[in-house]
Amino acid sequence: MYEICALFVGIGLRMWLFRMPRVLLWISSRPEIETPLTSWGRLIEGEALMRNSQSYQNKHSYHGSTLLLALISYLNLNAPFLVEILFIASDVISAVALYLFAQKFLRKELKSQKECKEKLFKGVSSILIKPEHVSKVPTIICALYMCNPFSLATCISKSSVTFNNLFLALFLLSAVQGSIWQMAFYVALSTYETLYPVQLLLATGLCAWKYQEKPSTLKICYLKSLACFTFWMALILTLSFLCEPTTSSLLSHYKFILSAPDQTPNVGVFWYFFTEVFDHFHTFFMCVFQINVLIYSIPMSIKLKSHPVFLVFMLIAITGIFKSYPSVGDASLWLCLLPLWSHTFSYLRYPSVTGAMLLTSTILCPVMWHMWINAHSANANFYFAATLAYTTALVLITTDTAMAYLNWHVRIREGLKPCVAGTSEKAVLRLMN
Amino acid sequence: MHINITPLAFLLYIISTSHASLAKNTKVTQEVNKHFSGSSHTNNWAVLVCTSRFWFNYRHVANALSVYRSVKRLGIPDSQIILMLADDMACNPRNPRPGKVYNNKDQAIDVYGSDVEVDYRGYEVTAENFIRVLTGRLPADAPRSKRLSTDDRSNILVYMTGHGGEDFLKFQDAEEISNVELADAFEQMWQRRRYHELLFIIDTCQAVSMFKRFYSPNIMAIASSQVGEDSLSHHVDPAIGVYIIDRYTYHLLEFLERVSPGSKETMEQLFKVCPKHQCISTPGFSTHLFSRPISRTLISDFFGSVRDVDVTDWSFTAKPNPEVVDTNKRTKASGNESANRRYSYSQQFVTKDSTSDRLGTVENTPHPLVGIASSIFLCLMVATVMKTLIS
Repeated sequence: MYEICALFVGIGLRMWLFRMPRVLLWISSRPEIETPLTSWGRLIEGEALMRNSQSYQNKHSYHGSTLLLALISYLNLNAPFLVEILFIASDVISAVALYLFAQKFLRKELKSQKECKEKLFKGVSSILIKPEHVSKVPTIICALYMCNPFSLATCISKSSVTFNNLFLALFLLSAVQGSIWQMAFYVALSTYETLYPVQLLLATGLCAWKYQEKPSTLKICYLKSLACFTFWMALILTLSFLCEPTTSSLLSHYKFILSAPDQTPNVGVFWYFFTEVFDHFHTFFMCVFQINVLIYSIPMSIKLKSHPVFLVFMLIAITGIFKSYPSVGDASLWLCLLPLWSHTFSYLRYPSVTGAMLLTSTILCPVMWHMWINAHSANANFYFAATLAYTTALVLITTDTAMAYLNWHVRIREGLKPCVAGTSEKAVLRLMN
Repeated sequence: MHINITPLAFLLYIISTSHASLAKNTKVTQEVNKHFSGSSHTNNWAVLVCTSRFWFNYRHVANALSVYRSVKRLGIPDSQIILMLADDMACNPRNPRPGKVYNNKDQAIDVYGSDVEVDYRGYEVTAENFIRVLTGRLPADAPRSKRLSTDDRSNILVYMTGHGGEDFLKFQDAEEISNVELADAFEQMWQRRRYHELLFIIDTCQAVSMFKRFYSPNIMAIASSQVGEDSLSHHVDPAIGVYIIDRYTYHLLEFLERVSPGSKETMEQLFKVCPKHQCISTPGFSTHLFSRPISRTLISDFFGSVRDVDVTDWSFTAKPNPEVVDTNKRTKASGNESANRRYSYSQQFVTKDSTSDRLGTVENTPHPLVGIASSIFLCLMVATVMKTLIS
């Protein structure tokens, strides 16, 4: 009931904000929301170049995927009013998908918790997942996604992060349903848009292994997911190639993501560093930064083998923070998923600090931008400091959540209090799985 | 006495015809001579280099600027003059006449003025840049005003002034160029056919040593002093406080003042400029590499930009290009298919990647397969999304 209210409030907010040109103008100039990879202005420019028979990929304009450009240009040509409806619908479907995902996930967690009741320590019932969680949390997540300022801003600015979030939300939903074809489809779609979700393949196999009706070995799950992903990716790339039959258009999109030549300021860590690095070291540090995005997937898949949904959450979070052109829209998705683990919140070490940091840095970023660009009384360092605070806040939230989650899993088996030194209680180290 | 008229008549006839033929012969000789020793250049360039900086080398800047003014007056345009100066005289804090550079103490001519175009100024006047200008090896982004864009029909005047020594010329107190480098630069120019004939004038101490090593054809060189001699300055301007012009260049300018664009003064007369009693140093010359006799080489072959214009009364009509579409015709002929073709904006201009685009252009409609494939994919996507949401 409440979720439908939340949906309508969200739709209403978006439709109202779409009608306010001053808001649209302000948001389109915000580097935190619009990146060179995802911005709407660049898409329109690419479309204009395309209509004038010029190759758009090598210019300093549109660097996104071909299919998105084809879709939007088709819509703009034939039914321009559908574009706004497309973005609002994408947000609505993401919210519905997240709601259904949260519901199914929490139900399954509750069920597995009931099944393993004997393994749990006595007296931990205060921190276990309760049926209220199953009924309340999905509504909260849906409302959060529809009404939080980050996703509102992303939708209003018509950036392609909206579609990325849609595919990731649908991926999460298909993950708890355990269907490999659908999971691979959504991973392929989001990999096509931005390269980094390819690391979700590691999680695909694990989700399939855990949530499938017919149990099979992990190896078969991985092979199947890889095969499905290859199939979908080949299909999408063929379609893209049909639309724009030059190989350069196919690769220039990924080349832009990987080599990040455009150093327009954004909330990421790439731009400031690469404005000052010597050309001699450019390739080296580019490799280092890209490895930094992708490397956490392997150790985390090993550790979180039996918690694949949390693994997906962590991968989405890390990608959203460290990718080459992040925006607040990337963060909005996984920040909305935090209530899923509200049962672990008592083990968060510094939630107020990180929350305050996030709030402060979000407010400071436009202020520093204004001081740098408009008032000329600051410089790039001020803005970078604000975005660095924002990134650090997100990183701290991620690590704190991971710590709390793992701590919770230990506590429900070991008891609420850790063993006190000097007493007769013994600490038993056991490998958790 | 019977005078035999016939031989007299015959003699008269011979005299008259020989007189006529003599006259015709001179004209013929002139025509023939013109083909053999008239210059066959088509354009004139000048490279004027002053290699000194600092206030006390005022005279070198005045030298270069005076030759610049003469050369401009005689017809070489600024676009074909490369002027390399340190350019620190006109706006020097010590210049009592700001913005003006004079070459005489009567301050009659301001050789700087508001229309001077210095191509290489300040620290750009280096030996490397000088050789790059001569040989044409400039970076791709060098502007046209800094390039010596000569061809094999260009006559070039190279005038250099500054402080020199035996076998070298000092550039801006920091480096030097040797006569071997200069000779090699000219040889590079010859091998790439960057000049037709070259006149090299140098007004420094021990100037003859700079052209001793030339070995490329069609170069004539004039130097203001021999090896072991110093070229001296002419006079001081007490109002400004420095020596204002050098002797050789002062007399060269006196000579050039008598030259007008159409005059027929030859190089022989130029070589007589500034003998020892006037210049105190002995000017030196090199003509052994030059193919034409100096008595037939005009001053205006190098100092001016004279063109032999041949006026004819022959005319021809240009035929209209059949491929050009007449816009008036387009509106009239409605059934004409090619006239009704809508041109896309950029197809009028040939661009490097104009062939690489296919999506949705006015002329190139996308292949129908693309539309079918895209719609199938969209339906597939929608179906998958519904399946995910519902199941």
